[in-house]
Amino acid sequence: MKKDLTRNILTSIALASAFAVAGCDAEQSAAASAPSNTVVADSAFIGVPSPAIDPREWTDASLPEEIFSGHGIDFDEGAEIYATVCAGCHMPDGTGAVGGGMYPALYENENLLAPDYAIYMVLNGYRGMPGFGRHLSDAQVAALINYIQGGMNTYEPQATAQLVAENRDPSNVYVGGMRRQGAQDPRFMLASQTSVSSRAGGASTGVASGGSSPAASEMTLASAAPVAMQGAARAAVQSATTTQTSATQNNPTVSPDESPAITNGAIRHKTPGSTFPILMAAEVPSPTSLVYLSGTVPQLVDKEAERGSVAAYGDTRKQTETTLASIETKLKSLDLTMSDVVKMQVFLVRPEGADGMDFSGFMEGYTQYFGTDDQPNLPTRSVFEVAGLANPGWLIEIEVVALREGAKSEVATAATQVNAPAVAETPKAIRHKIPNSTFPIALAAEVPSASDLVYLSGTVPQVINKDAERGSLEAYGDTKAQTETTLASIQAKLESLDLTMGDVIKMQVYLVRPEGADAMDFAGFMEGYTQYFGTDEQPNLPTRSVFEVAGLASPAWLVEIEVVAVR
Amino acid sequence: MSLGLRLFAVAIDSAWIKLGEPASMQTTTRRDLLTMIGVAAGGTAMYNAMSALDHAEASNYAGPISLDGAPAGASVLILGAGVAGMTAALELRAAGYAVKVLEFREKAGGRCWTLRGGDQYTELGGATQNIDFAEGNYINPGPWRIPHNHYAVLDYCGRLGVKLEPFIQKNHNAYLHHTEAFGGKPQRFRHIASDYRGHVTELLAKALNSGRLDDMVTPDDLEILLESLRATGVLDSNYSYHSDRTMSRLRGYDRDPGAGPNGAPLPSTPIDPSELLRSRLWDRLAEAEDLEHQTPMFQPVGGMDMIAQAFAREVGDLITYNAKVISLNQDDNQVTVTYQALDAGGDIRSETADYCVSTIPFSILGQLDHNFSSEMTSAIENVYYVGSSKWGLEFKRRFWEQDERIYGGITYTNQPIELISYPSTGFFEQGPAVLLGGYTWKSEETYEFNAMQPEERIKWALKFGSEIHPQYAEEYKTGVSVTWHKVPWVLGCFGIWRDKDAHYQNAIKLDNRVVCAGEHLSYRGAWLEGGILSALNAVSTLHQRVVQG
Repeated sequence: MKKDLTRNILTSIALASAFAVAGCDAEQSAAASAPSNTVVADSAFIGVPSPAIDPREWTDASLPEEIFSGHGIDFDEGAEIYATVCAGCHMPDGTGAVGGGMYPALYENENLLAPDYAIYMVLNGYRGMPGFGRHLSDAQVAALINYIQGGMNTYEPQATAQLVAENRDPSNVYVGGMRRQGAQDPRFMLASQTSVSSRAGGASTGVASGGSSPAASEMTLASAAPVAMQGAARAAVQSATTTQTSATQNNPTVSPDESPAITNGAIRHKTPGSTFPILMAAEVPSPTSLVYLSGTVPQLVDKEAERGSVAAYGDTRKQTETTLASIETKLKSLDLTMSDVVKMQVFLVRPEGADGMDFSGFMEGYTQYFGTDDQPNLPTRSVFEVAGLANPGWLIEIEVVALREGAKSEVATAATQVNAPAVAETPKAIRHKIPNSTFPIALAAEVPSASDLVYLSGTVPQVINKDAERGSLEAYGDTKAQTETTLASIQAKLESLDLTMGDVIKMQVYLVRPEGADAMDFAGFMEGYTQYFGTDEQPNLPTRSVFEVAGLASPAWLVEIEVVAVR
Repeated sequence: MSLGLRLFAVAIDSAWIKLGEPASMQTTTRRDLLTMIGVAAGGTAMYNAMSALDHAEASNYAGPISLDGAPAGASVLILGAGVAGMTAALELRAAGYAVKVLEFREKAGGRCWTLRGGDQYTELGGATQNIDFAEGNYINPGPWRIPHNHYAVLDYCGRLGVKLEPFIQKNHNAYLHHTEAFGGKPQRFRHIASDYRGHVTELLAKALNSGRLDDMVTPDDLEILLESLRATGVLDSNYSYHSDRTMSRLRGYDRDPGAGPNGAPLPSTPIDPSELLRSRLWDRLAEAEDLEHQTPMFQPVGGMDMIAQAFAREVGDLITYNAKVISLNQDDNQVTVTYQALDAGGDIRSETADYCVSTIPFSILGQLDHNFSSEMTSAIENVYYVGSSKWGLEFKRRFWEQDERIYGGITYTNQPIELISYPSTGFFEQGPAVLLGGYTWKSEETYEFNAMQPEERIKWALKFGSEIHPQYAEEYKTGVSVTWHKVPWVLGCFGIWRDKDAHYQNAIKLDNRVVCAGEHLSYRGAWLEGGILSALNAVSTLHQRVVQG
């Protein structure tokens, strides 16, 4: 039968090409989409003239009301969403269509075995296909994909709203009812993790990719609130004792033919069915040392441009390139390479005038360093849009964690040979100084596998003026004062755990822009910070990154700090 | 920022909200603001505001193109016989190139397309519609109106002998309709426009007279400003907008001026300002104010494809129809294109040429077997195609003219069909006539319409339209519905860049021996003008390369 033949042809085309995700190489997809000679048969449609319509004969029941509810796509069931939206191009039975070009078949399309690939396509579109992120909620996308997997096809339905949320770009917010309202950009706030945990001596540490970001427009994950954690944060905590190969809750399936590769000291778990150049999870077996790098920022590319301007540093793509080049240099100074990176957090600032962060610009830079022929090792990764960075010209800051294989003693030797780092009095961690710099943070901190890691929840400021109105800025003071009380609070927490500020090896600082100011008060923060780090009494420096975020759990808080210590 | 804009912003901030503090003002979108600015401060403020936002641009057509220098017999293969492809063909042949054109369809024009009685259209999925319009009636599923400042289109129409007539964009007697406002009863555009302007100018006058804007207006200007508000808002001597004969000259009367015992007019009464605001009917007031919809607009006599037919008269001898391109490969010496001859059993054939101009939409070009550079490939993959739905509905008589005195122009509605546009031609004729029963794009409803079969789409358009014109049920004769994601030769209505800044310059370059053109490669996306300007840029780029070697 012609139809069956067409279906087979379309399926084979779709299998090979249709859903190569961003970063696919042109040659592969072009070759795969070269149409077969036989497809032409389908362009000779069998036409059936429409019967005459007489509006006088209608009853209201003949036109279902819910399809045009006035609120965008109002269906919750996957089959209904498919029938009312997707079926137009991919056809009611999922067999696609062929004209001057073609719409790929979704029926018997094995790319759809894994949900993350389908989620990417539905949210963002690809090539000529529009994205539906603004039209469909997380739950609707999940329902739709589960229908395509388990209803249209006989695959296991695997999508969840949570998984969709994690893969949603922050600029791609569900709006609904596009015809009547403009899209509002999200306020996006960073999460801080929620528990104190230590790395057990013999266990492996799983680190999972967080996708790009949560989707909710006002996602605030305060340290006090036991709400769901996102991506890497959740998995890192959850996996303190886990040894299973897959660290994410929502994606427990690893197909047998995708056995994880063990490279550069890490067991790298690919995302099944996806060519997107990040890992689903990386597993760190012992004995392996973790090497934390301070947040790395872009390099000046135009010395003529105004200081602190974006022009001086280039666009997101350029800044990604110089930042990654800089990370590569740092790693090299530690006798490591990009292939040793297992975890990456990327913080992007929205370019002026743009709707959101320039994720594709970042990807263009990123894919030059990861997933290439020369450097096939992939890290786990999360990408966030933050409100600002320490320099107004920066659009990106990247934090990475690398691994060093081998025993502690070898590590210490290697590090000493390479860069003559100042080895702290404690062998729990090796702190590598930034060469020729007095800036009070470490270039990198290396944690041998015998050391325990202690994660602290995000710590927030203390009330310094009890007479001021509850929850007011006056009650907590300015950025400097808030930094001081926050660090004092961290110190107290550490002491309760028999640790000191000298044990902190990693710090992430989240600052809120004070009302009326142009940017976060980085200088104020530094004034508080330098009272605790790099002093005569406490010379140990942590690795560090500082971000401006849109808000914290209390409107009066300007500071939240997360630290990791070693024992 | 113009004075009007600033003043109006103040008015929104202070005075207006006090009228009833409508909740909707809390969520004023940029579009709403622009719309209101356009209405309150007139076209200039609107234009200034939009220019600042890069929305209003003038065509950069520089007159007939001149391709000087001998092309030395170079051959060019053009892919696509739409308006962009035929522009390229016409100009390149005139400059002495050996030109061939491959076209997927059985005729020329691409999206410049008109459906008439006797035509048949088969969309993706196989549904075929046999168009049954009366003689002379038609619908333009694609482009349907030409702005007065689309100089390239107008120039080619002149050169190719395409007769143009006015297209009526704005009709004060057409309707603005919202299912939740005024009990769902459509309101005359004139009433909403006049009342909106009257109420806003009254508010501004009040704010000025109470000294609240003294820091923004000098005493001398204040006096002139007040005078202007009275004139443009049609306020009385106390700067009040209320029911009187003065304002009725704009707004209309409850009883029109005439003769005889009841010849004296009765003034009409304005709509309550708060109700007007909450109705959101102001949303479409400025639709005809932007550069591309200002009066006058034009349409070809007899249908938009008169332009395509005129081009085809010039270059039709160069076109191979029913040729579905499947690959495009180039090396240092030539470009080779293979295609299926759809009218010859799908035979694979090939053409080679020194150069190639591809006007194939990126939705399809990206699926070909090609060897474009990685920059060009990235650009091609950066463009997605939005859908759009249109309806041509033929009724037994022009009830909109005969019953409602609407002669051309557009009625806007909040329903999924978005608008109804009445024919700009054939006024007062007695026979059947075709109106545009809806025009959607980008919205969720467009996807929902796209997923339906033609008959179902038409039923919906009739249902929505009958909310405005109850005559629909009795007068409907026949109809056709086109939804652009199902149009086989485009797979969408027009291209939208995910990141135009990053890719546009790469996409318009000569990529070795191939240069691309089409509306998607212009800053006049979705307009014929964009396709022609892009084609002219492409042939200039190509010619420069040939002449300079």
